[in-house]
Amino acid sequence: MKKYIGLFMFILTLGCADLERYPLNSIGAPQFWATGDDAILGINGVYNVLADNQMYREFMKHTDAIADNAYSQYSFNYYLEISEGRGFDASSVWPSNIWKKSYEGIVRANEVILNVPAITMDETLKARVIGEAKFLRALFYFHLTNLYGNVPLVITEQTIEESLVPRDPKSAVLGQIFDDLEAAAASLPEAYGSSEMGRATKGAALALKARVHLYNKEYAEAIAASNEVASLGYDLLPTANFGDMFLPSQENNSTESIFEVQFLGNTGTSGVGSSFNSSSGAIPAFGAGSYFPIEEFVDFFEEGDIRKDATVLSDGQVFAGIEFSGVRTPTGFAVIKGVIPDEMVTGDGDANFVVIRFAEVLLTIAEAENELNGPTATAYQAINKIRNRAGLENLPEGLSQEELRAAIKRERRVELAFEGHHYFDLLRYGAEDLKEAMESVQSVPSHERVFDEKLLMWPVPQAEININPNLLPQNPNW
Amino acid sequence: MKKLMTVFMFLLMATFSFAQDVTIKGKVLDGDSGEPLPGANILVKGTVRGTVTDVDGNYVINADKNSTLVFSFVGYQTVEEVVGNRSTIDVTLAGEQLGEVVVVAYGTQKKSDLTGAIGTLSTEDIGSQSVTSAANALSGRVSGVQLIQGSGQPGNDNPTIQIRGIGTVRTSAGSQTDDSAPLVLVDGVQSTLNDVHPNDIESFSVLKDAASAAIYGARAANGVILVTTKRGKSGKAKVNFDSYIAFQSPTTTPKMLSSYDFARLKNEAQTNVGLNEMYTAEELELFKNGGDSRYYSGPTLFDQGYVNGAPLQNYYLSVNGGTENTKYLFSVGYQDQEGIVIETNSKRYNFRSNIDSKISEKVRAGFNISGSLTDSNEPNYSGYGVTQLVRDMIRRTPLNPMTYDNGYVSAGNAALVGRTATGIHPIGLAKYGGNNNTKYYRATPNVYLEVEPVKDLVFKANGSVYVQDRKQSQFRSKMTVSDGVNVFSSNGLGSLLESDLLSTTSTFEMTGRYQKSIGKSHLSGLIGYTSQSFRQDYLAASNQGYNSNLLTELDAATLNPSVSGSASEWALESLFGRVNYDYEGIYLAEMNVRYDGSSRFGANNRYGVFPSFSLGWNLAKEEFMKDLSDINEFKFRGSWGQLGNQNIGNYSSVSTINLDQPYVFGNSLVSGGAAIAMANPNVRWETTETTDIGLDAVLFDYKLSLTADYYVRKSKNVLLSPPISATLGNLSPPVQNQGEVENRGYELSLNYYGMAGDEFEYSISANWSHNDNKVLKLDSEFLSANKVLTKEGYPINSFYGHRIIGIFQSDAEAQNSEKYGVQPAGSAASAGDYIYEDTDGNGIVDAADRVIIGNPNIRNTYGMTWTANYKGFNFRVLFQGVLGRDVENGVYGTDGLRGIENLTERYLDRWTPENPDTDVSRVATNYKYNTSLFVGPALSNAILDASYLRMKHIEFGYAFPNELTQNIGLSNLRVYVSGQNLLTFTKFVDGFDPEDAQTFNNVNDSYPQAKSFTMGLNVSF
Repeated sequence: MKKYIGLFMFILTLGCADLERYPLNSIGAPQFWATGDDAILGINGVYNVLADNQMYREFMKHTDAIADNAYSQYSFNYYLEISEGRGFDASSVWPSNIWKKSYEGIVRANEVILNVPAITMDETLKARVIGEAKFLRALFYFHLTNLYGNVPLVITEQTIEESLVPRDPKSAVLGQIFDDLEAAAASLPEAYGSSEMGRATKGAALALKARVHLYNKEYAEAIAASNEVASLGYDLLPTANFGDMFLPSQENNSTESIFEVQFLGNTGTSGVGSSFNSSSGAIPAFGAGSYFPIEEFVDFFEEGDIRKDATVLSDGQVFAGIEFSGVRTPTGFAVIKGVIPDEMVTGDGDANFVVIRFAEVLLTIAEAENELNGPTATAYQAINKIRNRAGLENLPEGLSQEELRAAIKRERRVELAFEGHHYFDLLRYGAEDLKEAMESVQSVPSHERVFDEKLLMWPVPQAEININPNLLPQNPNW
Repeated sequence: MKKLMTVFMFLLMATFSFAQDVTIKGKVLDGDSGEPLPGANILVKGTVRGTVTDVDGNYVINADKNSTLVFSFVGYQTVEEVVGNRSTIDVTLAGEQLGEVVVVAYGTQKKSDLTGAIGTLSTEDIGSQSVTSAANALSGRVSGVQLIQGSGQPGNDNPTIQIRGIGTVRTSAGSQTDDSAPLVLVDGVQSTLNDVHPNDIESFSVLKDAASAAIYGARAANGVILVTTKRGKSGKAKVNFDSYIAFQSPTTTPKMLSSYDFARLKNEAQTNVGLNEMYTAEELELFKNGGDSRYYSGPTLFDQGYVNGAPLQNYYLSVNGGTENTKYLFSVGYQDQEGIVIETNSKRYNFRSNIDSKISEKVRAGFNISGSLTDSNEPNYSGYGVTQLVRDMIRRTPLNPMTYDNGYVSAGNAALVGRTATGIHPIGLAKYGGNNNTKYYRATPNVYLEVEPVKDLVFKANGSVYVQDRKQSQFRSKMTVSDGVNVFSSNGLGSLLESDLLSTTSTFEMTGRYQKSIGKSHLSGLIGYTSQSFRQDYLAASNQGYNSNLLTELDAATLNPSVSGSASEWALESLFGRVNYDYEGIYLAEMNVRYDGSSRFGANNRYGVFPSFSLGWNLAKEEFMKDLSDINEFKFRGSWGQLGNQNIGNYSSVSTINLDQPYVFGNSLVSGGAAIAMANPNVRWETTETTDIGLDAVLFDYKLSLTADYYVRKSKNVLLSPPISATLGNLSPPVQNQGEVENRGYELSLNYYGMAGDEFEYSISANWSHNDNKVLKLDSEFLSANKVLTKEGYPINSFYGHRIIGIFQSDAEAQNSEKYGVQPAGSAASAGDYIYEDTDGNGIVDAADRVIIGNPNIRNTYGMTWTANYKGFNFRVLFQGVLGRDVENGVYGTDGLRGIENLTERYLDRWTPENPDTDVSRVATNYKYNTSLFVGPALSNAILDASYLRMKHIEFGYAFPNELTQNIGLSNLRVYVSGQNLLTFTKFVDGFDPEDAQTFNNVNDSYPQAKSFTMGLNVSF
């Protein structure tokens, strides 16, 4: 009997299992933020959010289809509903997606800003990483407050209980954005070596600051920031290179480009390549695409504007060696800005998304100058530079402030089309402009856009209100 | 096939001859009923010589005068008789355990002593149903077991099994398989039902209530299925050979519009919204009657993509036998199945070796090993699999031919630019676009050692490893295609993805059991320890630039190479015990307890205790009942118990930084890191508590048996992840313990056995199960995929969306509808549009008007079997049905010609001014308000009742008489024909199989179910 019990006790010791198991592909959170390498991993993880579908990979270019530049065919991705002004509400996908994705970027940036200072590492690099995080946090908050107005300002780490905060006034959010951008401009380099190309620069921080001031009608500050950008040596590319600016061949050029979201195709990793080719419909092999320039927008280009053929593909135009037939798309046109003229580039392409370029800075100067001082020579000079590059004549002399304002709006629409500006411009211009833009769209069958005052802001996502009722009250009329 | 026939013929001709001293004949009788006992073993003691009684209990054996014959039968006391000078020896075996014996956790029990709710199925009850997956045999035969057959694809046709409904909220809409699946143990080893050859199975036991499953603790919350495989019986080698061939066809085929009807309706869809017609009258004529090969006028894609009469062959050979001390069973199986969708097939090879040996009086040991290889193919459909093909056969614009006159597969159509699909023709892509091959290698070695140091005290140690390796090779061919004019390259660059997923589950188990009788009381107990560890390793590599379809290895191309890999682990450690007590078999009691520890929980809450109790009262054995001769058995039983659930993912309690957050700098990929999930170190076991009361009765001279159960199954501290504020960084929410889910239902099964005359036997069995699912407590409701709602007071995963209450008959009514409220389309609404109900009555139809429009949980399942035997003839039929289950009929085929995707023939009955009395909307280009695509994918017209009644199996067989078969050296020869799924009664949407219907299938892409006709043969000698 004893020998059997001994035998079984022996077998038992062989059979025990270890219940302490940890993930085999992730680092435990307490062990992270220990070295300079962790700081780099952490900041890269913030950039990762920029390249997401719900940020610059898909959403930003489709905002032109929410505005009156284009039409989005498919209702299930909700651009169509937002553009029509109905069939979407606080429960819809996009209001929720953008809210969540923005906070994803913000919290990742917060983690860098809160944890990196304690790491023992090269101090210059440390300052740069924190500067990058502040630039990115400002960019995410900027999108957020443009769409939702007042939003919770989160800059510290929270527990689930602490996360049930009310919304902060937009002015507080803007204050944080300016603080972050000033700190970023002070610590970021003007340029990077080739292996770091694509990180945020001093120019990017200043140019974004100029944009936020412009949106906030702080014209003197917008001009000052823009001039600082100009002083860093940025300039427009020549006319011949206008279309190339959005293609891999001119990627990250230091003359006009100020900040680009980086993409790379054919890596075997999903989500790091851009989707211009697959969503444009310009190349027949990839189906119909998901957003199409509308006739009213195409007609908006002045005669002789070289930007038209570099932005929009029209019937009979040859692209990638194939003659485009307008019947292939619902509007008869296709977007080609950023589309690589190669029918072998399928889903994931190398083309970057140009977020900020010098042309925008010039338009900011023109607009801010006109608002602040009227149609001055400075304003004329800035806008004419853009027009001349596009192969157009100077604007006629002697326009009123009102007339120049209209001219600048027109110029922004065509110069910056499909770069994620026009919809946000309409929101900041106000109800009258948004109404006019929505009602101008007549050429698409079964497609009617109906303006409502509430459309100037998006609703706070219902799902977030359900979790955190302190987010109430909802934005007006939603 | 030829090879196997040779083996078969060889075995057939092999003769077994022995020294012949005396021929002894006799009959073995059941001591209780006095009936003959077929299948009893007779062994000449100390030899391998043995035989088995025939159906009439008769046997014939040759033995030496001085030898001893051993008569045995499972459940009866063994009898030994010295031969002497006798030539006839009749034996009566007394029931050691009267009546049916049931496999229970860690042992067996007499059915009359059971106090828990256990459903059993012996393979004899399955007959000759040609099931390709063992799980399918349970369908309609065991109450309380629900099967959802998601796919009929060869090698991938394992149904989702649920026992007594869904008990956990974590079952998401997309993956209903994982968290609600029962634990499957094959001979005590955790495994799956897809790698056991159906012929190897002796019996199934389904442990339904907490009391019978509690001893398995943490893994048993969704029920347990115990599979017992056949084992060797002592005696001379017995060879069984089974084979069948079946011809399979789809049960039903989606009916899509022909090219002519499509073009006609598309023109209507255009003019309905003020656009020009898309196809000219001449083109319509070409689609209708042919005449120009660029304008397709043939049958629909399903005629080319579905296969009728696809063969399925199955061969199974087993040999079993042994001496008194060592018994063996060896088996091999081979199955070759062609799919009912083109370019799909699967082959399966199985083997099993079960060896049990008595090493000494006190020590027994055994070694079992089983294994299988499944080798399946499906088309590589532009990187996807066969379901994408099914999807495209539904939605693809039907206007292009498969190939043009220039011989190339079509992609687009130069004659119809902008008016037809641009992609590669679905059938051409399936045939020439490449191949996905999946191989599963599985092996389960299992050893045990059993020691009985003193009588009735047994220690057992058991170790096993379940190894599964999935190797996939996905080759996507570069194709040369044409639009009728231009010839160009398509379908990518030529790519290959190879992957390997190795999973290993090691289990170690040790038990000790003891039993003792004191007076009229009988006591037995079991204690045990078990540990289990799991590891999974994944490795994948891909290359592009394959120019030849003949070179399909990784090193044959070098463009864009990529590798990836991952691994994960979990472990479980437990102590358990059981005590059974009975007094004269009248009063029964059982108690189980299990103490479980799991690596998936944080150190704070790693261990859980799961107790259960059950009681039984065998009323029929009471003195005062003895006179009621119509009541043979009558037992009340009741049980209560708790079980645990650890299905929370492997690392929910650990907070980590995910390093798969890449970005691009300087045109090369760099790594990034970020927290993507919030951890909850305090997460603990979810507990499922089941109360069950039941009744087992056997009446009228054992002719009628009845089992009834009523149960309440409550899951508490349900493991779920309520959403957290996005301001925490859009992290996936931590698993928390909250919420309560209830399943409440009853099960009834009846079995009647009768004789008419001396030789006509028949039986009727029927079972019915009812289950109601309800979320009792949930802090915040969940809406997933914008259509599946889990909310307090409602069934889990209820369909949520707009209710359609009719069709507008005039534009004026549609646009100024005071009665129905402002419709979503506003002023664009038109005659022929659906009327959406303004459920909140505020005059505007919007997202707030969505309501619960369907319950996907199965409410009732039932099955009926009839059998009849006359002389050698047998007949068997099984009907199986579901009553009350809603499923989604997907968006494809129903989008009202918004774009140029095809529709089902239902739209031939669409609304037009001439056809106002219909429930199908008008067709309209670019118009989304009549489709599921508006605001959310659920509309009441897409949520359909998938109730059905189906003749699952019907069989006619003939066994040749023994006198004949013995002449050719066979103990049994039987031939049969059978049919599967030959008849179906349902109101489900025409062309789609209600059993196949995945609950949440937004795109209608299920691989079809097969109906089949089978011819088979069983031989044994």
